[in-house]
Amino acid sequence: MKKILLLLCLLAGFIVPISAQEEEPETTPTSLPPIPYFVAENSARKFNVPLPFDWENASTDPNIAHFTHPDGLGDIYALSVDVSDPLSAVQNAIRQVLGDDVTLTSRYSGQFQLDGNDWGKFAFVADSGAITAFTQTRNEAVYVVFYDYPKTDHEFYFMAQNVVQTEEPQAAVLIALKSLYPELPDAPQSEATVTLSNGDWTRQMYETDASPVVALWQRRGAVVYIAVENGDGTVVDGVNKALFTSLFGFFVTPQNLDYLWLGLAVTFGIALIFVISLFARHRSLTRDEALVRELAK
Amino acid sequence: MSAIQSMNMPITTEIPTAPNRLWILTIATVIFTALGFVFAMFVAKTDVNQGDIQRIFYFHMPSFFGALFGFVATVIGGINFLRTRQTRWDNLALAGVEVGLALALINLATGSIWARPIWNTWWTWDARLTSAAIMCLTYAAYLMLRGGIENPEKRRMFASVYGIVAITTAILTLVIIRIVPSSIHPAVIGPSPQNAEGAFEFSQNVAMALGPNFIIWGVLIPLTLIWWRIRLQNRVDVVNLRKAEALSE
Repeated sequence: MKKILLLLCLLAGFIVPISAQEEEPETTPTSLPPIPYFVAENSARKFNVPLPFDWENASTDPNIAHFTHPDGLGDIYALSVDVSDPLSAVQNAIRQVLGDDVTLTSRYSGQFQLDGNDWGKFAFVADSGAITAFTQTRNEAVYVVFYDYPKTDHEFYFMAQNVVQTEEPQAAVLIALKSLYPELPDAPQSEATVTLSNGDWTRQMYETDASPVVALWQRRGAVVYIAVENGDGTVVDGVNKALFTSLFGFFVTPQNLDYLWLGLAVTFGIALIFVISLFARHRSLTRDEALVRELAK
Repeated sequence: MSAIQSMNMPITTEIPTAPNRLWILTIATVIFTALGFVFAMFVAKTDVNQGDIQRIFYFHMPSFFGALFGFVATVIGGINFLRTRQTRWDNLALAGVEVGLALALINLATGSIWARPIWNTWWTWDARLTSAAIMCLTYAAYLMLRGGIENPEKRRMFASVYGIVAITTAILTLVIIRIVPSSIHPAVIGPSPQNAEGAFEFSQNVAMALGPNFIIWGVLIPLTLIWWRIRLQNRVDVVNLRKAEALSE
């Protein structure tokens, strides 16, 4: 009976911690619905990318995110490629998704810094349309997010350009735009501030000999983000938020396996040291016991 | 229950052999520990945001509850020793502290290793971390206290009182993230503090790896080690008694 009571006391000891872990929330949860994420299943090359609002998840491969716009304004893909060179990785990723026979003509390439990581930026003209790609190199792999705008009578690209804190963002915008359209004039023909659901944006129109170029840009810290279209600006207004959602939310799982091994070594090491100490004390007692026996004789 | 049975053994000059139940429990603990390792490393999926280091959580949290198991055993041993003055209860209290401290050190060390890639620091004076460190130091001081008192009866009495009072540090460590909202330590079950960093969703996948390891590191391992430690202490008592007898002859 005493043993049962003792056991009950031991179990009762756990009621305090368990009840402490199940307290009611102190703060009311936010009313905003969570953004649905695509999570790659490949355990070695993990990443997650948010599904933009109003877009549909058309992913069929567990390791390739594929979001499509219901009104045909393009497709967003995200995947990882085991190639160390970003340009080769982008071409590899595009061919993996769109087919090996796709022909890619480079429009521009470069790099920018975002949240302490080096990102690559690329634009191509493909058979299917205009492709804008961003890459991040991590853990000996390249993670690629690319936007495929279907072929129409005008192009659409999405760009990012680093801007020095003291510098006017317009200079960075112009550098980026001229890498695509070198004939662009230095000043826009018209400029306006537009308020979208993701903040205030500057909308500029540049006249060129071929067709007008509409740019929508916003500065965030050390980077200026630009959505550019050589058309009437319909696409710029329609998809720039979706692309921002995907790019800002794109997250590559950090590689920290070494720390896990260290943690496991410490865990089992301490447990082993304790067991060894029991053995050592046991042996010491055995020796003491033999000595006591000798003394008794 | 069998661990308690071995505690009930009166001090005689006969040194008992380990009962079969203890060997069965030990073998089962070793097998289940290996299985728990497999669950944590291969069954649970990699956390997308934290990477592989999140797996350390399957040992970090259960080892704290294992430590708590040991410290609760110390309280039971202490209360019963003060009530009955029987040495076997003091042996339980001592075993509880030694095993609990080892598991608390595992908890503290794995937390620090997890913090390096997730918080970008090995250590910060956060409320939970500080209280866990105080808990470890408090129980380390218990062992020093025992070593510092010559008179066995006095030593057992002081240690019993100390062991009962010391549980407050473990309880405080457990509940502190609920009462100090500025803590950055995430809660596993229930809402995390407002400033918590490194929280993750308690998904079915996490529960599948945590469940077995919680039983293994929170109950099986401390129970087995406490049992062996009690047997060792019983043997110490027997040898000391024999020494005393030999010296008196």
